[in-house]
Amino acid sequence: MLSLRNISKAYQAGEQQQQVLHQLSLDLPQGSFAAILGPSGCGKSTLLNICGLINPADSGEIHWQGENLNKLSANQLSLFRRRYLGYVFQSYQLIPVMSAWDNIAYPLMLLNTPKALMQERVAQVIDQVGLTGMAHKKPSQLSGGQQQRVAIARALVKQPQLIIADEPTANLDADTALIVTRLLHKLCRQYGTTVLIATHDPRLMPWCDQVFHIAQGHLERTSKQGTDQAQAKDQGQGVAA
Amino acid sequence: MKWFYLAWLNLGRNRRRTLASLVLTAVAVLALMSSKGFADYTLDALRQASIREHGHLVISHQHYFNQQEQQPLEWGLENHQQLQQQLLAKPEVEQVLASVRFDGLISNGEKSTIFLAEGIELAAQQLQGLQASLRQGQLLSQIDAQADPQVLLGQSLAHNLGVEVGDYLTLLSTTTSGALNALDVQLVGLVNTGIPDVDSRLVLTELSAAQELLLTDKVSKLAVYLSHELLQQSSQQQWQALWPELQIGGWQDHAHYYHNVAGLYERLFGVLGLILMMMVVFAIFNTASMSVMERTREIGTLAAMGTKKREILWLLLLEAGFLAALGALIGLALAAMLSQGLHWAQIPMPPAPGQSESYPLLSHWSFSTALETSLMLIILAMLAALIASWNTLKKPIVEALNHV
Ligand SMILES: Nc1ncnc2c1ncn2[C@@H]1O[C@H](COP(=O)(O)OP(=O)(O)OP(=O)(O)O)[C@@H](O)[C@H]1O
Ligand SMILES: [Mg+2]
Repeated sequence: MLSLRNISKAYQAGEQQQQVLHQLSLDLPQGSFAAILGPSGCGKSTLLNICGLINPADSGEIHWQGENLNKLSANQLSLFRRRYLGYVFQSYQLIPVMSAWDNIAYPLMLLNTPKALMQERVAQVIDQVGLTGMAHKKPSQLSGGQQQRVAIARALVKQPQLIIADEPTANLDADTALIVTRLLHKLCRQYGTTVLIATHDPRLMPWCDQVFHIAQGHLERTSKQGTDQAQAKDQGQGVAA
Repeated sequence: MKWFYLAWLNLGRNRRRTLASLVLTAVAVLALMSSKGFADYTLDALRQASIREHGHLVISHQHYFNQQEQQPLEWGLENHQQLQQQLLAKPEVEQVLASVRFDGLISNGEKSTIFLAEGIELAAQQLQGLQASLRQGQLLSQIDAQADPQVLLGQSLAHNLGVEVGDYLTLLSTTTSGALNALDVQLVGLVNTGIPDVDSRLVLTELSAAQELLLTDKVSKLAVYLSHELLQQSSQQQWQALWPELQIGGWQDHAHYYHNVAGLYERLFGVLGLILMMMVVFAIFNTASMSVMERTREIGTLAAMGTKKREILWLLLLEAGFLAALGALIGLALAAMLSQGLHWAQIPMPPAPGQSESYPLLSHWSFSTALETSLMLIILAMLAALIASWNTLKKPIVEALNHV
């Protein structure tokens, strides 16, 4: 369970102060698949960065499985992200000198995963995101969509408890977007991973357990209608509209 | 281990920049190594020469070196033969050579000039390497009692007097009792010590001839040659205890020229080394700053994925250390090649300060210098990288991630 309590965040833009998030609260039960919607600039990335523990809120509390994360030191936060968090950044943020393989393996390397297990996991996830045969390529040799999939594979590879994905399908064609979404969804169901996605992409909606809107710094829950339909459809024919 | 791999990958990021830093580091190390190697070689040659000239230990009357003599050999050693026997009986002693220093006037019959002479044992000629400086004629040799004693003259002194090998000369000097005495001698050879001031005054003769001229059986000092240099200090202490009335000094106490050159080199290479090191450190600092700036987003990414700041810093330091180590390695290899090349080429060098003889340009490749230089460079490079990455590492993660 990830809980945000009364989170506020403001940015200083010159003289003016821009209140992006205002007393925002959110509860995500373990294993839920949630999306945050909203127009560009409404604060989706800001909220995700706060949940992802890479940007501290001005006020409010974050709890993970009942533990108050506000109390953790910078080092403890690093270790928390390393163990429990997978992050898909809005702009991929791949390391250019590393091959796709090395990029994807990095989170496992940080966890000192044994070599054999690491190879197995990386190969598996590369296969799942449809990058078979591309593993040796550098990010600069991959298309935008392929880079996006490397970024997604990098977040999935350690099968984390919480995945935070900022526009993960923005650069993907319909088929790949579906594959990736289904993969995230499967992980969510199979391992009880909590998935939090910021997106504009209506194709994602049907998959979500919860859909939120950010408006004036607050979070509004939208109906979760349609979710069950899409899942039924997927099980039926394997292709979503 | 993973950090080493990553650091290695990062060196390939901007090949041209990495190459430039490598070349600069390598050239600096080459310059440091070969100039230091040259100085080491020269100093070592000079040290060997000083030991040959003075012996490892010099034994004299306790006042000989620190008080003026009123008469010649006032502070000379008596019974030197007995002392020589005692010394030679010691296992660590290879050779003991007595000598007499004196001065006076030398004349060709028409013209006279001042000389500074040394009466030496014949064996000293080989040991001190006199044959190397013999320019004409031959060295002093054993002669029968009737013949006139032989002398060697400094080249410029002979030139000054207008004499040739085979000519006869007269030495005039004061005896130990203050009377004037003369000795006819035959010129058998001309030498060049390499020091012009010495060559214009130098007379070398056999010890017994010197003693005959000065009417004495004392000597000025004994030069003791040990079987190994390492025995010098212990022997000096033992003998000083054994003969407290004598002065026993090491060659270092008499090799003033050696100390001057050593001091000069030390200052010279200290400054040179400092400049070169600063150059390299500045270059690496520059490389590190640019590379860290460019990678601000990546550093943010690594941190966001749970890499500790400490680990990122370590990665950046490793990169700089790698760069320095690799550059140093190339520089060391080049220096070794240069050292070998010089060995084959035998390029003559202009004479050292105060010397008139040239010597080959050689450069010792020394392991300790190599180790010192490399370690110093690596540590300095890492320090430079630390300073260069400090600001970027302090940035909040989100700010680093959105850096353009
Ligand atoms: N570092 C910052 N300094 C100042 N203002 C910022 C900063 N980061 C974000 N903002 C502002 O906060 C608001 C929310 O930004 P955020 O990136 O969270 O939007 P978003 O919903 O993710 O937009 P998009 O859909 O375009 O990615 C924007 O108006 C933006 O201008
Ligand atoms: Mg955004």
